[in-house]
Amino acid sequence: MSNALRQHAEQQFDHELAALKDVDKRQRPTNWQLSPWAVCTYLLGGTLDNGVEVSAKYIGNRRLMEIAVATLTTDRALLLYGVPGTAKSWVSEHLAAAITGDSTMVIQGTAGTSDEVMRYGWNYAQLLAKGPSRAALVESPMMRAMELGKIARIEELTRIPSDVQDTLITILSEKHLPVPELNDEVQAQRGFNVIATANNRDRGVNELSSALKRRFNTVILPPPATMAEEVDIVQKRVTEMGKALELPTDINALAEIQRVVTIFRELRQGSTLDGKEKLKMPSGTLSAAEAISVMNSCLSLAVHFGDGQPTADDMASGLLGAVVKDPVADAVVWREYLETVVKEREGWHDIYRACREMS
Amino acid sequence: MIIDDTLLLLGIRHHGPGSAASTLRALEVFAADVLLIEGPPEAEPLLAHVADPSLKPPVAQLIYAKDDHRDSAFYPYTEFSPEWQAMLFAHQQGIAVCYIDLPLSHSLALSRQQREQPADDDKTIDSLELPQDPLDSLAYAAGFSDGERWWEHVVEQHQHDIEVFAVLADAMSAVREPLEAEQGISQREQLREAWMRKQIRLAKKDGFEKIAVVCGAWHVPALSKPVKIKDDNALLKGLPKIKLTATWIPWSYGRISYRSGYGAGVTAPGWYHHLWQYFKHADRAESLPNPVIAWLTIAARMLREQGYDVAPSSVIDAVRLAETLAAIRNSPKPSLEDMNETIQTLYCFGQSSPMVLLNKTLMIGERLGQVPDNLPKAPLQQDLDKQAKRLRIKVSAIEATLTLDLRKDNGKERSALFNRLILLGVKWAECVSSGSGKGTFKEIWQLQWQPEFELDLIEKSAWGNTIGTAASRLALDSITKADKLDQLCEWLNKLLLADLTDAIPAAIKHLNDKAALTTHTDELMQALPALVRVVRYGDVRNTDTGALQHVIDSFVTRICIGLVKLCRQLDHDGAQPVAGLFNGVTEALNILQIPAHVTQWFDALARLTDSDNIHGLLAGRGYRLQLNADKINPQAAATAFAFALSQAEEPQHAADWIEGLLDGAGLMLIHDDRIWSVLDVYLCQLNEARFELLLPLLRRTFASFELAERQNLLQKAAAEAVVGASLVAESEDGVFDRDLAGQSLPLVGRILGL
Repeated sequence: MSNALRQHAEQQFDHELAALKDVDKRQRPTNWQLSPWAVCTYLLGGTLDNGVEVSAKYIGNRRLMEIAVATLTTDRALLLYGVPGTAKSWVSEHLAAAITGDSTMVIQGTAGTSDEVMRYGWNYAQLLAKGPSRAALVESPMMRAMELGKIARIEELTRIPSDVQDTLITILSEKHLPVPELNDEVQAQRGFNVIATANNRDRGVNELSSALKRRFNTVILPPPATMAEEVDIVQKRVTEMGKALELPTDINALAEIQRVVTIFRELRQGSTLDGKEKLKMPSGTLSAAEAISVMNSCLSLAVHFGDGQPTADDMASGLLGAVVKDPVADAVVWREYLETVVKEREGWHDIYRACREMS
Repeated sequence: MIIDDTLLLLGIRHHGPGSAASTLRALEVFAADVLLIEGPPEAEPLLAHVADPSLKPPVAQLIYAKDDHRDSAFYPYTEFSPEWQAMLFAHQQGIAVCYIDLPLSHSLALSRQQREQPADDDKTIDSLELPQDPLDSLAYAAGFSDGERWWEHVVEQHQHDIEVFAVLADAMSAVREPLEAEQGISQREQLREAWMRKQIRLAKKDGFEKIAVVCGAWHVPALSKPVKIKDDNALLKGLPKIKLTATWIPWSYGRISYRSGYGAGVTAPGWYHHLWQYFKHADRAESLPNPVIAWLTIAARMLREQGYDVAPSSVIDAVRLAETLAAIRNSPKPSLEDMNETIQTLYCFGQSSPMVLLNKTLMIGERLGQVPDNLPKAPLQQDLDKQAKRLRIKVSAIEATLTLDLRKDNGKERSALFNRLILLGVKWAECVSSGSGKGTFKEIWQLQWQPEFELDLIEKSAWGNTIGTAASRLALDSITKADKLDQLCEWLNKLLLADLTDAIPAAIKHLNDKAALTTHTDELMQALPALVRVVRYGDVRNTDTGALQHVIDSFVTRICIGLVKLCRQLDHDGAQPVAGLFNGVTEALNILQIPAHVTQWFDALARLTDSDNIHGLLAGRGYRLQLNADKINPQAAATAFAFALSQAEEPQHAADWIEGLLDGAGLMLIHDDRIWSVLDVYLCQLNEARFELLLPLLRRTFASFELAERQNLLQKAAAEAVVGASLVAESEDGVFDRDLAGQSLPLVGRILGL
């Protein structure tokens, strides 16, 4: 096992990918490692004909994943859109890993993302010594993906300044990247495509121009539909990450996970799960991803400072941090929730007490 | 499914293009000599019209009891209904057609019985009231999310050979048996199926050798299982009966999912209609565009019409995506759902809101059927057709807007027709705006015809044979039942709007009688504005309102006589609405501009303000109205005001007076210096205890002023030196401490609501 803190998807699940490749007899698009059907199976999980169990990477609507995979077989790029913590980057990484076996060609979108990161830069020592040449050119992940016929990923597309976003238009519509300095170009090979992610919660983002929007198929990833689904997601990820963080994985944290997910869902939808009471909503997104991190910190507190069994006290600090993003308004929301809902709920007295002590 | 080579059972879904095409093919192969259809025998006379080219689906057979319109049933047919296609086929081939469902005269009689004496909660199953689609369980087994999708995938998208019906029958028995064993079949369902079996036996007895039966797939297992003749006959003995009438009425795709007659409905008739075009023209299918491409293009065009940018290149990509999706999902052709997802992803950028729009216009479609003019129609329907034709209004399921000019005859008559229909409860047209613009002659109406209006019209036939007479009789009936004067005036107004001049004298007489008997002057006051409105509308519509003028005369007289009595001994809560009525009456009389009335009214008000024992609120309001109309010397008003505010009076009375005088009329205080100074002096001389008592009451009045008015008042107060001067005089050392006084200003501002 490698010593890397976090392995790439294709490393972590290489046995599943290999097993899928074995059984996959369906037609594959050029340069794809798997057929679209096998990619869907990889994402959504299932048992293969040769008995290998494929774990589910995405728990949710099967049809959405089918649309995403189908999109990548056409010459449109895929835009995964949604509130933070709905597994956009996660899906994007696994799609790239399953289709090309390489999820590393990533461009992280930031306000400072420049043209060079999207297209190519120069190694100035080489440039001065030898003049403009391919050797002096520093390729971007995008350029590499085009040459190899693989999938390039762009994280947080809407954070990239509009003028830099626009360089994507030629790449996506004409599938080539001109290098005027060398009077040369890179033509994308078959199999090349782009998966971008963007979230629709943050303010101050750079909306996509309609020209660019038209080159993407948009798939909106929703928050988990049901309580059971969300508990499932959190439990799965907590166990997986527990392995990576070398925490004991045999802890029975299901009860705690259910409580965290209940709290998150209630605050997110602004009413109790039984629909009887209306609640104020906090400013945070309270996504499944945040529930996962609350559970992780809870487990590591329990393992390192407690008796190994997660308790309400271990959970309280994480909960408070996840819910109260705005120290004034959210604190009121949280306090009200504690006093009206948590206090009354049977068997929740420990959480109530722990959270009261925290705040 | 063929039994003994003599009986062909075609289990279908009531609306489905694939079923229809397969049914046609099976009928051709089987060469039937009689066609039995799951439908009510009462509708058999209507079969004569099926081949009539002016009967255009979607249409429905309406079967109703003339005496009670709650007992009615619709049997809708679309172009892609298997029954419809089977009937057309039979007509072309010259095959006899019979309806074999349990006669509605029995089943409606049964439901009437049940309505009169409701039975206990029935747990048995009935195909019209199944909690879920029986196909759902088959669909789950096949990995589909619901029965309709599965059925569409398996049956509707393709044309099948005759064998498919045997397969479907088997599948249906597999679904039905456990359900039946668990809950049992409802009595009505048992009766229906027994009746159908009986009819099939009858057909055999009549010597037919090739009997084809078209019925819901649900019933096939029951029709094919052997049941003893005497059991069926025993079941069908002694059924109650009522008398029914049947006719064709136009239907719409929006109503195909309507649960009546059949339990079945489809969610996307527009899509099925689209698919049917391909089955219908199967012989020249090559020349038609691919259905998927056509559908996605239509969707793109519709979204463009609604202002969404859908590039032609997106359509190309959409077709590819839809086909890829179908391939990933192992289906040969994209289903409606694949295409919806494609449309949402590509055309709508993942958003679901434009899909709602498409659902209405594309998935459902706004097609409205047509029926021949020579059908036996209820007189009211005939009259409506005649009038709509004369006034050139199109009866359509598509929402349309019509702007009418009431100065023209055509506009006036159209408006009257719409209003008459509204009186009859047929809300075909809705007035969205009237009297907008410069005059009162313009009306804007929103029109959308719903198929159930036909039933409404039939139901109202009892009231008369033309729209006009029925509407006026219905209205007069309501008028005689109404017991509040303002309701009566509303009805009168409706009669006028509907131009039912014949009914107006009777209505006015009734109103007058009621007004004479009433002891409630406030009711008269409440009704007066409505009456005045009626007279004004009459002007626009050239209605003769002379008789009404007389009623108004009597109203004003009665009000003026009863006014003082009404206003005696009222408390604050009682006085407040009356003060509002004062305003209403004054306004109404101002509109009417009849000098005699105005004089009479203000004389009454003067008498009121002179009397004792009148609540301060009403006295104040009386003065205000007189002041506004220049009927009183302003000085006299100021004097009366000062009198009411004298120290001897209770602060409560003063506050009521102030409320009556000033409520909602801050401008008066700003511009009339006399009133201002009376109030000013009064407030300044109040001692502390009284001031505290009065303050909240004053605040209530001041809160009714506009913000700008209050700011103006503050400036006016600031400009007055009087306040400052009196403060200087009272401070102990004779020096006015400006800073100290300034500290209290924010609080004062808050008290004044600034």
